[in-house]
Amino acid sequence: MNHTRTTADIAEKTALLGILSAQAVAVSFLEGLIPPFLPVAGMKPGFSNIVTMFACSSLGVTYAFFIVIFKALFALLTRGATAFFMSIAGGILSLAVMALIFRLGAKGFGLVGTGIASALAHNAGQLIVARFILGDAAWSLAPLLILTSVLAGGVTGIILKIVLPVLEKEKSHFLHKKH
Amino acid sequence: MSELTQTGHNRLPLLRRKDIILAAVLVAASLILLLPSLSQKSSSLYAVIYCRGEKYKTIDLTSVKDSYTLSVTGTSEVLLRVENGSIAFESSQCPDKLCVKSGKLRYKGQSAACLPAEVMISVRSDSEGGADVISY
Repeated sequence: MNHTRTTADIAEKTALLGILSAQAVAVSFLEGLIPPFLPVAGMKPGFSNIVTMFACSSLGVTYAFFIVIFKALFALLTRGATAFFMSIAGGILSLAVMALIFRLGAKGFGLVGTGIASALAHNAGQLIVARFILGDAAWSLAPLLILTSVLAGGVTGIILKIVLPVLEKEKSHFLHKKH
Repeated sequence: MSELTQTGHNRLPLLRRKDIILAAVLVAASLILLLPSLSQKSSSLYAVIYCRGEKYKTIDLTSVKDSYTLSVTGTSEVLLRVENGSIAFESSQCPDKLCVKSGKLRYKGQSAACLPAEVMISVRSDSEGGADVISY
């Protein structure tokens, strides 16, 4: 009986993880369709971080980590190796920062601040990869990246707050309530 | 609703005072870093082309009379369209074509890159470029 419960648990978790990963990829695909309004093409607001932040705070770092890996693999398949390294470097650094902030609990930031800090870490990770490809010229993008991470990260935090009830409902649909 | 109030999120508020301080500090830092290049009054306009991590060529965009296409080969070939006062990626063999979508660069401080081809172009008001871009 205990064994069946565990197997079912894994199935439920896998299903939820699949849905969340698909949502993260869909969000980043959709924002790629918006004509570039930022001064550097390829710069995107990074709203798929909404899903990663939800997973990290509500389900645990492991969930969020799998989403980050899934997103990077999707980038590898659709946009090639460069996109893969950009995605994984930004994704992991960003996840590390948000996990740290969520762990601080009441001493940490609110959702807006967490969004900003993780967007900043995401950009930093990508900039480091770009530095290896482009050389020191890549650093000249830094001021702009700092500014845009405040805007995009802040908006990400606000959107997460709004869609939170929906995501929580999605979560409880897949996972049996344990409390 | 009771199950929602038990989640971690509702213990996490949308905005804390710290968040505003963080945002303010970052905006201030980026503006300070951007200011020198924005306030510079200069009519000169140079395009600096970087190829595989190194400065490849500098073009004075104000002295271009007839527009032309320039081929630069990093890990793959890209074509740059050079016109009076602007430079753009015309074509590239990369999968996502983000470089081409960047369009024409005509103001100083603008830059565009084709990461798969390892080619970057940057428009600036001095012909130097290189490592000192960190300070701008």
